[in-house]
Amino acid sequence: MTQAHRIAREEIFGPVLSVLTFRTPAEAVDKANNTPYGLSAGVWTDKGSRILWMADRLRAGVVWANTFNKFDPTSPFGGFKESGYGREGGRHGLEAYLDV
Amino acid sequence: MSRLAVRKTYKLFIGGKFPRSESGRSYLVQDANVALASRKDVRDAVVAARAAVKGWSGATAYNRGQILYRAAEMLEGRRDQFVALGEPEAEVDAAIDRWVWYAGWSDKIAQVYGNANPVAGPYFNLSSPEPTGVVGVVAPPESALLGLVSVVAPAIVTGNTVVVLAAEEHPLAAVTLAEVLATSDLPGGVVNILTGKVAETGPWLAAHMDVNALDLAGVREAELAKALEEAAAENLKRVVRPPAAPVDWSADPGIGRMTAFLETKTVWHPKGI
Amino acid sequence: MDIKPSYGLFVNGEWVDGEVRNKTVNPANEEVLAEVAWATESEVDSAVRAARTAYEQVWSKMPGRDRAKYLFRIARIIQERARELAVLESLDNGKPIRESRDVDVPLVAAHFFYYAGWADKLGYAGFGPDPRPIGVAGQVIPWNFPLLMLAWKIAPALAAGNTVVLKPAETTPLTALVFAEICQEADLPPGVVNIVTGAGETGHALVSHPGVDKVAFTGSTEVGRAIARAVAGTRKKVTLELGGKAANIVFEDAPIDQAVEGIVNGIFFNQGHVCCAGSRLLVQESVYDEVLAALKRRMALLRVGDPLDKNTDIGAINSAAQLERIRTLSEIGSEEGAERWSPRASCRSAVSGSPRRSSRA
Repeated sequence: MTQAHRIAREEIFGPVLSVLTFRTPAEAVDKANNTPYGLSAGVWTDKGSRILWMADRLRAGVVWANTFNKFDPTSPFGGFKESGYGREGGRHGLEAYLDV
Repeated sequence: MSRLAVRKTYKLFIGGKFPRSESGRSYLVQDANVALASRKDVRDAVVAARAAVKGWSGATAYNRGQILYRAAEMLEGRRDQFVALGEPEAEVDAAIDRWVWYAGWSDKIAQVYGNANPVAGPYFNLSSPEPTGVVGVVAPPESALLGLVSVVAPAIVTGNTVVVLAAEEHPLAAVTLAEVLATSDLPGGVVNILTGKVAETGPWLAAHMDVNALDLAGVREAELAKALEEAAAENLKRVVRPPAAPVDWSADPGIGRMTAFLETKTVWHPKGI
Repeated sequence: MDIKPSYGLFVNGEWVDGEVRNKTVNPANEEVLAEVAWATESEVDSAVRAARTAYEQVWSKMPGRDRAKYLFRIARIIQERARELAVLESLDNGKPIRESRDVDVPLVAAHFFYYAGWADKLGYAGFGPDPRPIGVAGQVIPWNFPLLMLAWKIAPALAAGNTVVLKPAETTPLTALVFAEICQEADLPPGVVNIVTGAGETGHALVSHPGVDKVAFTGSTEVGRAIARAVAGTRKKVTLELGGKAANIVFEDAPIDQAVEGIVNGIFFNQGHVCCAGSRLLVQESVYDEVLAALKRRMALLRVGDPLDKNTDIGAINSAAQLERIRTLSEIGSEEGAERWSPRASCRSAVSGSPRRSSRA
């Protein structure tokens, strides 16, 4: 499918996966960021430097590399853009409940 | 024989250039004709600010610091000009010092506001602050230069770009700051300044879908503040509300105005052999 | 484990019957689990008042080290009652017991432990020497991780010295109600935690209550927008954790088997009812065929079934309404020309009742 399909753009909140392709890392970044959301992203590669190159450019609050859906109380969670604001978890999660 | 002065036309500051308002309108304020920005000018400014995000946020923190420090040098050189506009000397000095203070944060905020998180698993987990993107700023009506610097510098030092609505009754300090920035090394579009009526331009800025955040520091009417915040909800802009009480702009500002326009990105990087 | 036939609202440390009664069902077989209250505006008001009193008279004045000890107590009780909480979560939500047991509940306990430790160290958190709490927090959470989202909301709020009124989702209220019992068991002072069950109207009453100082919401972007509008012009602080459409990006040098496991985890964990679900797979062209073939093989092995069966990978979609939304968007995808593929539904379920509630990978 393509990025134009509604199913590739709208949150479905169910076990349905949209599959798209890319050729270059830059194209992967563009497609990944082409959404009003910005909560999370996953990167799968054997190359550590590529993980960090991608992580720098992805507009998402959580970037998982060679893993996905990992959570930890010490690790802040929350989104960019229309995925919301503020963080839960970690030191940042504390800030959300302090008068700062 | 007395010399006839060249009279100055005050214009907008968009994308590093000084265009007239698209509407061609102006208003009389501080004994000068000042451009009255329109909806189209707001759009142009947002486009310029968006175009500048990639380069500015992608610059090294050291580079941003250098550029902002250089701007402080230019600001110092214009000190007398700001005083001549009626800004109290102490406030002009405080504004220059404030700019320097924020310039130094460029390569420190990530160290103070980022974290290494000890997760239970084989991951190097790092949270680091990143700029939100384009920030719309309503400059405070009081302390025309100090207040302005206190809301612009914290937004841009971290890599955001701004569209500033200058104080309606005291816009000359803002236009003069634009002249300072235009002659500094700051890339065009990082700071864009619109003069005019906040009640007119504010709603367009607040509702613009390519603006990521709003600082309502200068909004004094509760109804307008509410309307702008409601408009901002459409794309979930981060909003700093107007101050609850009069602000002493000379007081230590803390890091809140920087962190308000930062996103925390957390990366789970695998450890392995 | 015993589920009570009926639950009230937990306000000021006590159970009060709600005026409006409703039922919560097991989404796997549509059997009624219990009757619960849907709090009215005046009931929400009582809860906010209780939270205010507890904030002013007790919790904000209590030394951090004592708040910490209450939170440690709660964390310990959660660990002790882990099995019961996991079963209850799977019954009410439909998620596989393997997930509620191995992921949700352990993370819940860990979250309370983590923030317990912050309660007496706030001055070292980098927010000034003596950071103050905000006041009363109104918190609204979703149905996908009912107890975990409760933990994410309540643990930091209490550690910082705030009191809370929390509204769980209308389809998954039970673990929050058992959490209220845990607060009683921990002797938490009355009013520090208040649980008001109900649907959207209850949530609206809570976030728009003038006595609420902090609003925290996790849920859809659409509702998040409405909340952002509702608090406009107030002094309420807000945090919103909303929707997503995460890209899961697979490069040609990726370990393919590991990536396929990750893709499956990304979209089938908790039936895909995850805001951060990896719902957009981006595969580098050179390995597209290989990845897709491996993914299809792996998907065919997923077991759809009884959430309480330890071998189940995919449990029940949380509600008929949600299933309908998923189907509709999938249909639109097909109509727009997207190629669709599903493994043959292999429901090894021991669950009786309507199969339409089972998800099909």
